[in-house]
Amino acid sequence: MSARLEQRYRRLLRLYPREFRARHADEMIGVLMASAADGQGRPARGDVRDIVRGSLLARLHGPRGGWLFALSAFALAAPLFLVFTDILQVAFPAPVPSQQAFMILVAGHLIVAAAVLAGLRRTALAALAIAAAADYTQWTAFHVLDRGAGTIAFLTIAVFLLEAIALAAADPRAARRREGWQHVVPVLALAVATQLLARPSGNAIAVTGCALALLAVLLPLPLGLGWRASLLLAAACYPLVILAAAIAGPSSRQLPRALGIGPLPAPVAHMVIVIILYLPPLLVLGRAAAQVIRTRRPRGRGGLAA
Amino acid sequence: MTKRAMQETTFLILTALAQGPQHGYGIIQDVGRISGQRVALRAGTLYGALERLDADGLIAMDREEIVDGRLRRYYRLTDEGSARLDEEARRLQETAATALQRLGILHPGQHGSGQHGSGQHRPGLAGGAA
Repeated sequence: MSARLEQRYRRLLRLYPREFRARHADEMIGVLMASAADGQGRPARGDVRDIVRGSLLARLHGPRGGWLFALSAFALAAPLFLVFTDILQVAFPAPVPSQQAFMILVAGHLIVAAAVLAGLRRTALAALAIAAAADYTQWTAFHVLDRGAGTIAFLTIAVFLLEAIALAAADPRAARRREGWQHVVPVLALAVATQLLARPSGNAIAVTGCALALLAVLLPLPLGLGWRASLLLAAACYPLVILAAAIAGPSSRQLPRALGIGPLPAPVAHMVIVIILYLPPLLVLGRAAAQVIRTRRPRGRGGLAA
Repeated sequence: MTKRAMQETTFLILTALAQGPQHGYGIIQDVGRISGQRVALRAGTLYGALERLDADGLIAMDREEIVDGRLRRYYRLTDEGSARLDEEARRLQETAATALQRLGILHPGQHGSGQHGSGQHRPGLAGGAA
């Protein structure tokens, strides 16, 4: 009876991050079993609520950083990435519709990155707002020249919003930790690769690459994966960036035309971008889910307890 | 720089450990006792707090024992933990004293009897402080 209760509690404790469980699961079982009533068959409802809440908090603040740390790393990576994109845009002359807006945009991103490093949250948010306004001006001007700019503007706004959320939610200083840089570096590497190799396909890749690169920072951290996973994910994202660019980028119009189907209508192009953007995170989540299912299946010791 | 006020759970756990090293279940029982059974800690809350306190250097692992085949890990207060608890206890005491002092002045109005009733409460307060 009590072995069954213990097994049920152990199953509940799987909600905690692995490192936390390795440290405290046995102790917690001791406490839970000590406070269990005689003949109690299933976990007390209060304990279940408490464990669910505790495990969520542990994942948010986890020792490796957890979600809050991931957001902090993101807050640092996003402006650096955007600065990089902007500078490359100057190095490889592309139509810059508004010089002034462009300069404000670059300066804004640099200030955001510096403020994140200095831990000045409010300064970072203010600089971000200015950069976003400059970006908006630039892309609306660009919209007159190129119809694909709408999609780019849409994705850029999403990145800006995410950055604002990250700044509001996380302690920006956390990103300064060594682990933070370990995750930022692969992202910047992806940015270089995207910009240098896929430049001719146009700007859509820049933003798509940006979104993917940021996912590469975001995902491995809360999943408790190391920086190598970040690097792998960034590498895995690269072909997807090219693919997205081939389908949605300005030069892509020739591809459907060559196939005799005419240019892709905007909603379809949108859908394709969204699917490609969500594929890597879905794959990683799928992998995580598979791992959870695998650990749930009784192995050795678990089989004996049942 | 102002330090953020300590959460009550944290305060109670540190108070429990102020008496000497204790294991998880011991802390839960002690916290119940200290709070007059008002606070019933559960495992998730307790170990979340212990993990955080350990990371902040306010507590440390003391020793491990195996009792009836179960792991018991004892935690103790570090010097920094003692200092923080001391600081927080004094802060709470000051705040509580202020609250009581002000209530001592306002209280008589509640009885509705006299405006001069405040003098009645003062000795009590003075006695408490002595």
